[in-house]
Amino acid sequence: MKAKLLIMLMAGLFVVSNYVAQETIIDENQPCSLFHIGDCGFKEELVNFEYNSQSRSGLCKRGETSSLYVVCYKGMDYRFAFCAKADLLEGKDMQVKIYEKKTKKLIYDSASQNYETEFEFSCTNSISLLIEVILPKTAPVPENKFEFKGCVGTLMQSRKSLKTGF
Amino acid sequence: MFILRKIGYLFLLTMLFGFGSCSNQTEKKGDVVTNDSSNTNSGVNEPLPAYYQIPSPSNLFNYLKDNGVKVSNVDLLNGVDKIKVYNTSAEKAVNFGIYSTDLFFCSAFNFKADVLKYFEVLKGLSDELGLSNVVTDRTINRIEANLSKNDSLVNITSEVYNEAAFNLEKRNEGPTLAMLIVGGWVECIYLSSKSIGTFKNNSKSVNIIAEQKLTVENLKELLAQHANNDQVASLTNKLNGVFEIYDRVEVTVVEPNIQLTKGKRVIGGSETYSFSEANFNALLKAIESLRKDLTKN
Repeated sequence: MKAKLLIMLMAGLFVVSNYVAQETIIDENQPCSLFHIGDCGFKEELVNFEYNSQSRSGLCKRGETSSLYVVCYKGMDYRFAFCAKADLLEGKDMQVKIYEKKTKKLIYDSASQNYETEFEFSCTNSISLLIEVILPKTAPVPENKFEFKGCVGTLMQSRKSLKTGF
Repeated sequence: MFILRKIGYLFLLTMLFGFGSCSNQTEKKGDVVTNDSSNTNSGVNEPLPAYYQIPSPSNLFNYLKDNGVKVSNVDLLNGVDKIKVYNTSAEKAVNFGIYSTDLFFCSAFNFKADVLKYFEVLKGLSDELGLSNVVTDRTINRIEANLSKNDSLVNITSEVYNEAAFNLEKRNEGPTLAMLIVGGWVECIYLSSKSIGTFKNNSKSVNIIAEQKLTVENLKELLAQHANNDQVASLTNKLNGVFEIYDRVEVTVVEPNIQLTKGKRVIGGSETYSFSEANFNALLKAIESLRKDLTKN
């Protein structure tokens, strides 16, 4: 009788432990969708800026470049905040490059701005932008190790350009 | 002997528990994911696919409103009773986008009487798309409490639209999200172009519709990323007529504007866009026909 109880207890523990194990498995496709909302932020709150739904997060490996195409309208102000999971950066800076999509002209390179993670501008003629977030390269991963992946986010806000003065 | 037996049982328990919970040791909760079976030790990574983003209907409506476009005919909106005829997941996704835009329209242009009706419709469709947490009873209560405040209504509508997009992304339902976005964009262009009505040369509002060429280029790429999905492929086919009109938009090259003015960065694109009268009228016909098809009107 006692043996039977013990066997049932062990079986129950086995089932529970498997359930717990499955609950910790993470679907690779879903973990980053809200990362930019929780983790990217601006140093200052500015009047009238609102969340722009062209914001985006994605899953990246170290050394990868994430590319985002957005449309900005004439007469609007835009600002961007970029962020990445600390383990992706390993103490190094990520670089942001922004191009005009049509001419591929480089508009901004954060490397010349001390790797600043915010960017803002007033738009005088509607434009399509390519935003590249470049993660720092690291040493190659040994063959017996899994490669690290983490979230990278671009938070975008916009407002109608303000007219100052009376 | 008794003690040894006890130790034996304890040992067995520990072994069973240990094997049962043995999972990927590198997994953590939150946004860190590992366990990549395609370990690329060569140091050369395949380029990641780019994300092609589309401004939300609220961005476009606000842009139009700020440039003097008055969308005043509530009869243009898709009827709320049509929800019964949308049976496939594609029809529901596209019309979720369409009704979201109708709701933005009501909120932004002060048609308070219709706001609740369209929220109820979105609630119905969100339930059918498995997005029940997007439009809840609490959302409806917030709407009722803010019926007199346009800005609040627009904000709540934006939250609903964004929440739907987040949920679909989290569930890896890219094709459904793409179809929702298409529905929203088509309805925007339909409502705004119908409200403009007659073509006028150098009209700000006509030029804003022409500028949508920038959005069309991103939309084409977004749809191409899901070309393997039959429903998206079918929807793309239907859009081709409108896309061809946008291929004929007149483009004027201007000096790109990238400068620092009083410490503020000012940027402008290198092209401006306009429609010929014939092309604008062709767009009116094509978008009306497409919208009729999508809404089954």
